[in-house]
Amino acid sequence: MPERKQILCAALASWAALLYAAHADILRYDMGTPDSAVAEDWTRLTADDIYTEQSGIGWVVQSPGVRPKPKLYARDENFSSQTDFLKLGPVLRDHVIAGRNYFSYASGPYAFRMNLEPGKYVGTVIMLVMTEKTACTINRPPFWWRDYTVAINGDPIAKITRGDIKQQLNARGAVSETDFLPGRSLFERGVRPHLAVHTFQFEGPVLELTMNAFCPVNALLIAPAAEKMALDDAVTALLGTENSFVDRQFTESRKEDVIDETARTAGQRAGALLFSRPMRPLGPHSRPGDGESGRPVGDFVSPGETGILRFGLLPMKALRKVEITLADFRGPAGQVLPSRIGSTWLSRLVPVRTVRTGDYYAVRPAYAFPYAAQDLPDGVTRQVSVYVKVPADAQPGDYTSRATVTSPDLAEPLTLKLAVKILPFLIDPPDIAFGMYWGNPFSTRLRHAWQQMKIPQELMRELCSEIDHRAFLEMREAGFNTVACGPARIMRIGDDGQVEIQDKDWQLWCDRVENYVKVFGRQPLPAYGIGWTGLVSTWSARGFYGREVDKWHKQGYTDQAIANMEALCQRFYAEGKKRDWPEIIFYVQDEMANHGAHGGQMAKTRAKLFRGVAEKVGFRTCASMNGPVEIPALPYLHIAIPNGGLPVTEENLDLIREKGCDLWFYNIGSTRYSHGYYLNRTRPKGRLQWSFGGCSRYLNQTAGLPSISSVSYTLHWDSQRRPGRRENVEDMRQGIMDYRYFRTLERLISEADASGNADRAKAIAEAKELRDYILNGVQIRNQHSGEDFTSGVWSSRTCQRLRWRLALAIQSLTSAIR
Amino acid sequence: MKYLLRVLIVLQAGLLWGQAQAADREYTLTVDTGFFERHDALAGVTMELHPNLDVTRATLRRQGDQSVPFWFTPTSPGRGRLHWVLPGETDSLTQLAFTFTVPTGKWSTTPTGSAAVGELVQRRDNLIPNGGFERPAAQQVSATWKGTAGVEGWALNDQAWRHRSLPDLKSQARPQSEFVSEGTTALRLVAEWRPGDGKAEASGGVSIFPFVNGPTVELKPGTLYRFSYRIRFADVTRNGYISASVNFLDSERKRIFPKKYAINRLQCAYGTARNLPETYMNTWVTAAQQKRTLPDVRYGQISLSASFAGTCYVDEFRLRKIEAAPPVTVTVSPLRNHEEE
Repeated sequence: MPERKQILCAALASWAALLYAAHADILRYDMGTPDSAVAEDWTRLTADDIYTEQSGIGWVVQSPGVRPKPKLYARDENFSSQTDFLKLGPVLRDHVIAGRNYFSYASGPYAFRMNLEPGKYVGTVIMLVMTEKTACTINRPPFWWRDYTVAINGDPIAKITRGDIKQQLNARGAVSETDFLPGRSLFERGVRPHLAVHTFQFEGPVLELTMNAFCPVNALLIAPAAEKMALDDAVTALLGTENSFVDRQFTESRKEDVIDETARTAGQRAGALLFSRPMRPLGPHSRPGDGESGRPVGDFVSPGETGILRFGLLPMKALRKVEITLADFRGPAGQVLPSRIGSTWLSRLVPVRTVRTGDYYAVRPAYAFPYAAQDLPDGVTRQVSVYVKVPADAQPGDYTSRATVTSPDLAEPLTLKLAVKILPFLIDPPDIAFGMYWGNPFSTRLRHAWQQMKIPQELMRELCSEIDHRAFLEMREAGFNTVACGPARIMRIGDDGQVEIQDKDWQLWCDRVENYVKVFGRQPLPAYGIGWTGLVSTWSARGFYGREVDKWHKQGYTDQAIANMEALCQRFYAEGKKRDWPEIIFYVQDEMANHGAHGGQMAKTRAKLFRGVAEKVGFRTCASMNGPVEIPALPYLHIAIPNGGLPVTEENLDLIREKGCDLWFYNIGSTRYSHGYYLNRTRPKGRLQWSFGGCSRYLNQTAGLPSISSVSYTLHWDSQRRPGRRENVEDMRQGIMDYRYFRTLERLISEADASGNADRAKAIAEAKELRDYILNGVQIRNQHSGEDFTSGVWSSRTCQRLRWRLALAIQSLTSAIR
Repeated sequence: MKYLLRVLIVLQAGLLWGQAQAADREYTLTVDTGFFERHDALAGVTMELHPNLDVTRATLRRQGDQSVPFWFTPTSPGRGRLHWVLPGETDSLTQLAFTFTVPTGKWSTTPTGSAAVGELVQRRDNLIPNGGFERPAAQQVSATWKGTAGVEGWALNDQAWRHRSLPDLKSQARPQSEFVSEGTTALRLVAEWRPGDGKAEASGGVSIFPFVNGPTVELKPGTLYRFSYRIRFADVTRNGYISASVNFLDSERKRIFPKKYAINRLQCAYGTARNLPETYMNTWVTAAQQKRTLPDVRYGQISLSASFAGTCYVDEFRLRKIEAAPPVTVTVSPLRNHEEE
């Protein structure tokens, strides 16, 4: 309610400012394209409005000393017809700028000039650009990264220093550390941080506004000095209008729990509530129901593994400096495991689009960072996770601890009992590859900075290596044992026909493999992208088309292109052998079915060609496949990686095996079920999922503006450049653990000898019954979309309850065998 | 005394007879939720009973609990389908036991039990009342409809209002019984194309087609629905579409017009040019589409129009919620018969 009041007050203030400003003598110029909307009472200025003696207003393209002459572009950022793409209001949507596509910006400044009556004036220039469109990708614009200067009649009015790359990454990380609370403004969250508003004074009769070529100019407002207040009000009104234009596009879709009345009373007295709801996410509107308030939270864990205890913290009033501490974990016989085996994480709230094509979002906990003392607003439930890393030598039994919440605003600390049952057995490590796709940090997190900031190679290597290493460690922590990632343009065939190593990118790739080995050892690495961009492409081997299906269909591969491809592969694996790399699985292609029947034909041709080279050089090939047109490629692949689009059916899985391929899966759902029990039934040798960190989404660090950013594929980093824990990755973590419990039971069943011992025979029979019950419940064709039901995906709660049954069966079998 | 004895004997015999009549049969029904959590799940099972049982006096009880409303649909003497609701949230991996007790008596040939459950069963199968046009209704002749018999819940129009004054109109929407996909009635649609006779149409031709407004049904937000109907073409003189939609309405039953037009309805079109004639000419074919409703959707209104020229028949309009999980399984334990004990 207070937020609504704030919004109402802001709207009234904007309206009042608008009324006042509308009657003042203010010149308003809306820079942009000739055909985009212009706000009422504003004058349109496009890139073609060049200053001349006659016009007396416009862009200066022949300033003395400015070479080369800047080329101006007017750009409308509401270019997408998709509803789910952000739309800006009439003034902010378009701008004039002196360049485009990263590399065509003039090195010098560009200028805008206008003639006025002599006298003193005040003015405001507004700058905003949200996208840099390069080829088919939409990236962060240079304006976000680079230092710039704005000058009026030669006097600088703004000198903006963005800081070095580390400072910038930390600053962007700090954005991920802030919550989007229900009712807050999407404009303020996603747009305002990139908006520059520079106000200045000057003396007529001439105004010359000069700025760097990459600075957009969206709007210019000029008023006599005496009208300074009116100008400020006009800017306030403008931003208010633009704000509501953006925020009006989306509505929060919220479902509020009904709070248990006893809990409410207790919470109002205590100032906050702690509650738990096993295996259910706790969003901002979650409220404790009957029996949930103060309910202990627990998990069962094998020695050496990590248990996760989640609870909700609902402040019933604003709380300052909230601290959460853990007590030691005390065992049944007085054993003590120190509190430091637990770490507390707070999930950050993000607006997430709820209906793919709709105008709605929900505020959800999306990713978590380690908890640090902070203020928490009232009425918003926060999800807290305690990760308990049980030492490998811990004694089994029931351990208890407590989480204590303190704040100067709480009369008494709040406590919640934590329970960890340490199981008397170890679970087997995964016997298959579990990995996620991982973008090249150079191509996402750092590329835009590198392109704009001229970062030295050594610093670039340091940062790429840091990002890779920290991300790999986090993946391993979540249970993964490999990563699907590849190099980027590391070699090419030179003019002399020889393989040329591209030193800078080669160094980055070698660093990456080094980090991979440090974290994952000698586990095979599926090098995603190596077959169409990373090593072999038309850039590196002219005419060896990767995804240019139409060109390939018309021209095919020439013998020379094939020879060049082979030379690149030979050199790559020779270098790997020299460096004792683990196995690099050659990722031939990805989703060629997206290109229709020709894509399927090309997939087969490429698989056959690479298989030939693989046999000579000694490597394995793989491809991700999402349509039946790719099935003819199967005989030529060592590893087939289908998703639901192939489709995944019992027949197709049999076919994959018949053709001699190892089965892996990719993208069959970032769920616990599809990483656990589903795999126990289908028995692939690998499981990949898109994506631990985004590859091409340009706003990966802007958490969750629903129209324009990606949450589900985004790895969020905090202000110390530490990776966060994303909600769906945590689901996958649990799935991998389920898989391991099941495999452990399977192994015990296969090893157990039922003869001569009734208890053992009974335990084996019960274990088999449980195994068969679970396996028979799994439908091979997952993600089913049919007439009767939408999915065969089991909830996390179901998976957890089955895991407990598995744990009991393992314990029983272990005891019986012993 | 003799008389009194006789009365007592008669009373005793009557009591014994009554007891014999009251002897009932008990069936234990075990519901297994399987691997999915359930919300207000509808349980159903086919029961092999006995023709001398009276299901109108049957009871269903959860073990140690009070009576549970049910709906029984007899399918043949001694056989039928039993449905009931598991109210609220039911966890996965859970088994619940129920007892279905049926006294002996006359077999009922009509559905019996809780009308509310019966309605749920009906709604699960099809949210659209009279989706097969089986129940007739009076409909007044109007400027846009010249038929004699209408269909309950459906407003038939032979053509659009703007075409009403064109001469010699052939377009029609009529119930008929010659060609049906199910039951005894289907709808015949006749549409025509008049080259160069158009007023509003800039193409120089005008498509004159019937349109039909169907019932308004309750929908839930954020729910996936499947909309389908059966169609059979008798002749096609110009290719085009049959288009049926569920137009989404808000809580005030007003059309929802979000920025993205395509999401304000669940449209299911069948195009003659997009399919081979042998798949739709003189044979019934199913058109189906599914969509998830937006958060503000509360109702849906069925509508039907066409843009082809020729004659076709439509039948079996169905709208059903697509469940997130397969149905619960129900097993019936061996019969326990009081008379046999």
